[in-house]
Amino acid sequence: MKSRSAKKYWMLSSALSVAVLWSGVASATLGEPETSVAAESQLSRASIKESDRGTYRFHEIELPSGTVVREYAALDGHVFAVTWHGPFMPNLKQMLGRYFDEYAAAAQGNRANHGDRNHLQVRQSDLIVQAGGHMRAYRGRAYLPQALPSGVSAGDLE
Amino acid sequence: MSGGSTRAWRLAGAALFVLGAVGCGGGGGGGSLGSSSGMGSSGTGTTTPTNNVVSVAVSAGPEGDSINTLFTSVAVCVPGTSTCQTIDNIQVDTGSFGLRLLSPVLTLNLPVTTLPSGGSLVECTEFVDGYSWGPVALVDVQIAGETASSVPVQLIGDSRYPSAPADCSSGAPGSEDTVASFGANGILGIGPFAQDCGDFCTQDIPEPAIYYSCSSASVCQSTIVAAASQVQNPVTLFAMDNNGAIIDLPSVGADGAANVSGSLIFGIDTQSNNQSGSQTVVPVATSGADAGLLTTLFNGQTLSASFIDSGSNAMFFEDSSIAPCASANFSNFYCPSSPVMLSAALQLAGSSTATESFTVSSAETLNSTFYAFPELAGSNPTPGSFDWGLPFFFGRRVAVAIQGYTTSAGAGPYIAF
Repeated sequence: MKSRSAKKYWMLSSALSVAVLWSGVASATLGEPETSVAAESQLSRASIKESDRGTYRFHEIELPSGTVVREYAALDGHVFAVTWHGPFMPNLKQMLGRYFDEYAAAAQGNRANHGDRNHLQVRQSDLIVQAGGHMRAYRGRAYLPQALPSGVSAGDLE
Repeated sequence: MSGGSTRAWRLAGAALFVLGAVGCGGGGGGGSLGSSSGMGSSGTGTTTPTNNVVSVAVSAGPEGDSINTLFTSVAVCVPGTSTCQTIDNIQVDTGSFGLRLLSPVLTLNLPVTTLPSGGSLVECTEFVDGYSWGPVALVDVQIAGETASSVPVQLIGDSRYPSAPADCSSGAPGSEDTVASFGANGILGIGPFAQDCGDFCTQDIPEPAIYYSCSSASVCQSTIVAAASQVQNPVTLFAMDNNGAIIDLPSVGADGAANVSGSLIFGIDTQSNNQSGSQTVVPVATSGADAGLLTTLFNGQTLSASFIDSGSNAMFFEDSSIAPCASANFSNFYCPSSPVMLSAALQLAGSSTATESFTVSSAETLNSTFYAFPELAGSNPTPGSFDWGLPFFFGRRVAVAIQGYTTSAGAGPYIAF
């Protein structure tokens, strides 16, 4: 299964990688260079780990609230995916950056399309957002399908 | 609970009430504080059964377009008075905590809670598909024969606080501050926690924040809030029957039904009608990033971010072998050409599991005059998640035990069926 091989790959690469405090603190903003974004106030108290997975870099940021945000950056430094999980929603406006308005516009039809409060999917050629959960337990991911490095699938973005 | 009375008294004290007049007054809603007032026995025999059953229904909702959405009616009163209002079309949600009312349907004049700092307490509730902004006020809640006094509730879309701060609107894509956008006149969150935020918000502030102190209609600063002042699951403030609740719905035929009626029963093992018996108990995580979640085994995957939730309108899981609907109106639902029978297992305590079978039918062939559909399912690509929504509740009793309380089946938080 794809997920199994992905997991094995993750375990291998994480064993090889060194988790370090990422000094060039950037916030995870989709589509932006990972180093271009000023430090966010919420990140000053965050725990940040970085690991290298060969075709992309992976930053895991545990916010003081317990919510874990991950950003995935291609070797050219651009963030192609962000994920989140935890007891509080993260700042999606900051994480999605210029894609937030597109997300918000696409989300407008959720109720009309029989969606409930706990699930929201946006599937467009340039943007995919998959959000779910409920109070005290939120989870989701957003990625730029056209910017996924070769060999990387949505299933790798957890 | 002592926490409830502490809160009530602190707030009442600010208004220079004599404590005795609040808890021990003979008339109005205050008289039902009973043993929760902390003032000793009120003389009401605890063996006298309280009517702990309110009817619930899967119905069209206030907008006429709801599907698989469970509603009930709740009476709210100005605290300590008999000035009350019954509000229908309140969604029953085991995936949230606390009572929220859409301000436009409220006729009561409810003062906003004042914080020790002097600011008014206003909340930003983050749902996945939108945020709801509005002040916190105290009401006496009456459901069935149960009364919870001075319950902090959120008044969503209140004209006194018309604009959500930018911080609030950064967590979700749009506001849900009207009945039309919310799809209900309110929501009754009876999930397995006592507060909507809990310990974290008593000492720190998430970003986006949940609670704000507002010095005017438009000047608001995020704030910490004592647990007792946070929006509370009203069940925990009942004098008895306060350790959880049970949703009891009949089974529904494969084609669905126009209206399904059942019961919401308060308390677990507190009366003859809410006994645990030999229910299957599914523990849920108590804290951390997985709070409220449980584990589902499905298609060879271990999905540790799963949940059982009456507020979800379908079974939501990811199965690429089932065709998605072509219609934009059901863009996130499944539309198999013929019904698909599936099973998934819930992880129980220890290493045991409980396997549940369910059927998925095409969302596009649903009878448009029906509102309850046991075979409705949708895709759920969020990593590691299986959402057992309202179809799971049909044809059984599902108990939700609250953290910090115990029943004969064990300590909450858990969900049992």
